[in-house]
Amino acid sequence: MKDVIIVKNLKKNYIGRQAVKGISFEVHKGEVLGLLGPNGAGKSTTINILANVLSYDGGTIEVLGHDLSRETKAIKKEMGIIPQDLAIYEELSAEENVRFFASIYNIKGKELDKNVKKALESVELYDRRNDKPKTFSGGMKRRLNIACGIAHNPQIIIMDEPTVGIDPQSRNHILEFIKTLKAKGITVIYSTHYMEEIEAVADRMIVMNEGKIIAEGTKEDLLKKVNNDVTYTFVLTNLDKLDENLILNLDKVKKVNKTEDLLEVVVSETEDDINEIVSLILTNNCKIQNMNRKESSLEDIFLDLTGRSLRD
Amino acid sequence: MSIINLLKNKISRMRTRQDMVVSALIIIPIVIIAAVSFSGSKNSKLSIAVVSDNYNNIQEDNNYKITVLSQKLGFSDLALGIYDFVVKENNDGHYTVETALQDNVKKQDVQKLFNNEKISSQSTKTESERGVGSSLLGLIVLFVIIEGTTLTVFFPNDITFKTLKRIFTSEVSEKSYIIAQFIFTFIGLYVPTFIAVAISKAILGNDIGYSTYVIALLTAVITGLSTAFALFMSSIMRDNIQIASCFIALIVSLICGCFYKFNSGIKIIDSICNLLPISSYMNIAEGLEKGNSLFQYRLGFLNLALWTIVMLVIGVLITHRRLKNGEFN
Amino acid sequence: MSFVNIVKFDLKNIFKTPMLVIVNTLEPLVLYIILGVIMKNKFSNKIMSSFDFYAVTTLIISATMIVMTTSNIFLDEKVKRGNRRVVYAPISKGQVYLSKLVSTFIFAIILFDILAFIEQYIFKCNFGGKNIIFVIILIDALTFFACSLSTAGCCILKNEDKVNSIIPLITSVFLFFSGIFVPLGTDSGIMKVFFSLSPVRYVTECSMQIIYDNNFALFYKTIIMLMILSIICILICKFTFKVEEYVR
Repeated sequence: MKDVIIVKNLKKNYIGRQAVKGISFEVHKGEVLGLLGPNGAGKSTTINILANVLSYDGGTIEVLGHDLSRETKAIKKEMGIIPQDLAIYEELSAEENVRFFASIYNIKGKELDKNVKKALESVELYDRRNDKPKTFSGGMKRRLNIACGIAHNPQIIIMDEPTVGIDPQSRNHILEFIKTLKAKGITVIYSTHYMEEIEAVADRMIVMNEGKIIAEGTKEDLLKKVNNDVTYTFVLTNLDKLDENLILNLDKVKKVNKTEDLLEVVVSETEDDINEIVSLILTNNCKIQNMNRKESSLEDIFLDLTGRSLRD
Repeated sequence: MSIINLLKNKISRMRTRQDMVVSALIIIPIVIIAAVSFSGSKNSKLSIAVVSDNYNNIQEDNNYKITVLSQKLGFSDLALGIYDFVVKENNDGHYTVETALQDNVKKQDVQKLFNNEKISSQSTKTESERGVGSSLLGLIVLFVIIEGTTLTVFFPNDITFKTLKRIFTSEVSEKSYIIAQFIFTFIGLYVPTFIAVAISKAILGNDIGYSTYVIALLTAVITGLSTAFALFMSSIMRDNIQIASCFIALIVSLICGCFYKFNSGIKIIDSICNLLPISSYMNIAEGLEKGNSLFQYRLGFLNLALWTIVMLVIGVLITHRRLKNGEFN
Repeated sequence: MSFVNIVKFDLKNIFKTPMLVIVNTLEPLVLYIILGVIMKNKFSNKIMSSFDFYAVTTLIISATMIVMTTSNIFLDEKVKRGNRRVVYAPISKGQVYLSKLVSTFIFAIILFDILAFIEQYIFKCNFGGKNIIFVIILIDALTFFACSLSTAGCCILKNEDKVNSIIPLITSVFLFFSGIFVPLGTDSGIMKVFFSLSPVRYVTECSMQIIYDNNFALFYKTIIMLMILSIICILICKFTFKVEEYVR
C-alpha cells in the first residue's frame, strides 16, 4: 500500500519538556488513521507539525513524496486541516467563509463556485449558505469548520477533534461524512478522545502517550498486544454468603471484585469457560438473577497501556 | 493572487465594522478640518487685556488685539491663553506687563508699546518659523498613527479567532499576509486623510505652502510609516495593541516636535529625536513649505523609507517566528 | 456583597495587566517630563513653570484617556470569557457593567492621586498647595466621567475594537479643545464652539483658577456638569446593555 505520509523519528521540544519524543509512523493512501491519546499526549503537536504551523526539532517528514521542511507549498496544496478551535469568520456568511478559504488555494472562477457548493452540500449547510455562523448552533459551526477545510479538494485531511461539544446528530453526520471521504480515496487523520468514534471510522489507530507512540495497528492488532480479558458481571442473591476467594482460586480466574450486589469475575479470553464459576456460585446457595459478559474495549486497552483513562 | 483574496476578505469584513468606516471617513476628516481652523487662526493677533480706567491713553496697534477691562484678571487667564498679556496701569502712569505663555522678547515689546517706547521687533502670533501647512501636518500625525492601528485590527483578530492558523495552513505565506494587510491599511488610511487635507488646502488656499502633489506625497509618506508601525505593533504585541500604540504615538509625536517645534539644548536628546522618522517628516514638511526642493531632503526620505521597511521586515520575521513556535495554534 | 467581590476581582485583573499599569503610571510621568522640558522656554514667567503647567495637565490627559482601560477590562476577549460566568451569578445586569466602571475608576484614582501628591510634594510642582485636594477632586470627577463614557460605549458597541476606534477619538477631540494644547483665547468662531463643548476644558480652566487665583467659581459647576454627563452615560448603559449579547 502506498504511503502518503512517512514520519521518521519526529521530535519536538518546548522549554522544559519534550512534547514529541522521536515518533515514527506511516499513513497509507485512502485510509482513516485514528490518533488517540489523553490530553498532553502530543497529538495536537504532531498534527500542527504536519500542518506546517509548528516547527520541529528533529526527524523527517515526507508528504506525498515531498519533504515537509523544503517543499511546503506543494504539500499544503494537497492538505486540508480541520482545527480543533473553530476557525471561521462569524461576521461573514457560510458561503463567504468557504469561498475565501478555498480561494487562498488559488482556486478561482467556475471551479471555485463548484467547490464551494459541493463543500457546503457535503456538510448539509447549503441551505444556510447566506446565513452568518453567529446564528448557527455549535454543531453547524463545526460542520462549517469542516467545509472550510475541504473546499479545495485536498488528498489528505487532518481533523483535530472535530466533534468536540456538538450534539449526537451532528456528530453522526460528521462520522458518516468521514466514511464518504474514505470511499472517495481521501486519506484522513482523525484525532479524538472518543473511542466509539475511532471504532466507527478508523482503519488503523495510533495510540500516543507522553510524546511517544505506545501502540499502533487495527483494533484487533491492539487487542492481541494487551491482555484480552473478559469480564463477567453477576447479579446474585445471598451474595454475602459467597466467599470470593473460592472463585479466585480457580486457575482461569484473574481477578474477582465483590460489591454489595455485584460480583465481577475477570478471566482470560483463552480461558473463556464459565461453567466452573457458575457451578461454584450455585453450590454456595447463590441464585443468578442476571449475568453480563464484556470484552476488553479500546478504553480498557488504553488503560492497560497507559495506566490512565483516555479522558484524564 | 492570494493577496487579492486576502484583500477581498478584509473588505468583506469591513461590512460589520461600521466603526472603522466612521472613524476613517468621518472622525478623522473632522479632526483634520478642526486642526485646519486652528492652524488658520494661529496667525491672528496676540491678545492683550488692559486693566485700566483710562482707555484714551492706549495706542492701537495692528499686531495686537487689545481689550480694556476694568477688573483685575486672574493668572489662570494667562495660563490658559485666554489672553497672551495682561497690562496693568500703575499709579505713576507706567504700565507693567504680565504673561504666562509668551517669551521675554514679546513681553518687552508690549511693555515698550504701552510705555511709548520704541519697539525694536514686531511680533505676530506665529510662535515658530513653522508654516500653516507643516503645522497642520504635525497636528494630524498623531491621529493618523492611531487610525493606522485601528485599521490593522483584522490582523490581531485573525490571531485571536484562529483564522490566521487556517490561512497559514494554505499556500499563503506570512509575507503575503502582511503585504495584504499593509495595502488594506494604507489605502483605508490614505484616501480619507488626503481628501481631508486637500479640502483643507481649498479652505486655507495659499496659506498652506504646498501644491496638491506635494500634499499627496507627504500624506503618502506619513500613511506608509503609520501603516508599517501598526503592523509592527500587531506582530510583536500579544494584546493591548491599541493602548501601547497610542502611548508610543503620543510620546513620539511630542518629542519629534509635531505640535511644537523645540530644541532641548541637550545634544544627545536632540540627536536621538532627529533619528526618529517623525522628526525627518516634520523637517521635510517645513522645508518643502518654505520652497526647498525635494532633493534636499533625500536623506530624510531615506530615513523614513528605512524605518518603514525595517518595521515591515521585522513584522514579517516575528510573525514567522510566532507561527513556527505554535503561538497561533 | 457579590458586587464588591466582582469589583475586587476586576481590580485585581487590572493591576495584573502590566500594559494597563504602565500606561496609566508611566504615561503621565513621561508626558510631564517631556512636555516640561520641551516647553521650558515658552514659560517665561516666575509664577508658573512648564513643569507646573504640565504636572496638572498630564494628569487631566491621563484621566481622559482612561477610556481604553475600561474597554479592555469589560470587553477584552481573554477577560470576557471569564466575565461571562459573572453573568450567570445572581446579580442584576447593572452590576455587570457598573463593576467595570467602578473598578477602573478606583484603579485610576489610586494611581492619579498618588502621582499628584508625588508631583506636588516631591517634584515641587504647583497643584495649589493646600488646594490640591480640590484639583484632585476635579481630576477624579473627570476620570469618573471618562470611565462612564467608555462603559456606555462598550454597552452600545459590544466589541472592544469598535469601542477603541471611536471613544478615544472623541476624548482626543475633547483634549484637543481643552486649553492644554490650544490656547483658549484662539480667536475663531468655530473654535469657540468646540471649546465650549469640551468637558475637559472646564476641568482645565477650573484647575488653573483654583491653583493660581484661589478662585472656586467654576468648581461646583464643573463637578455637577461631569456628574450629569456621567449619569447620562450610565443611563445609556442601562438601556443598551443586554446580557444575552454579552455572553454570546
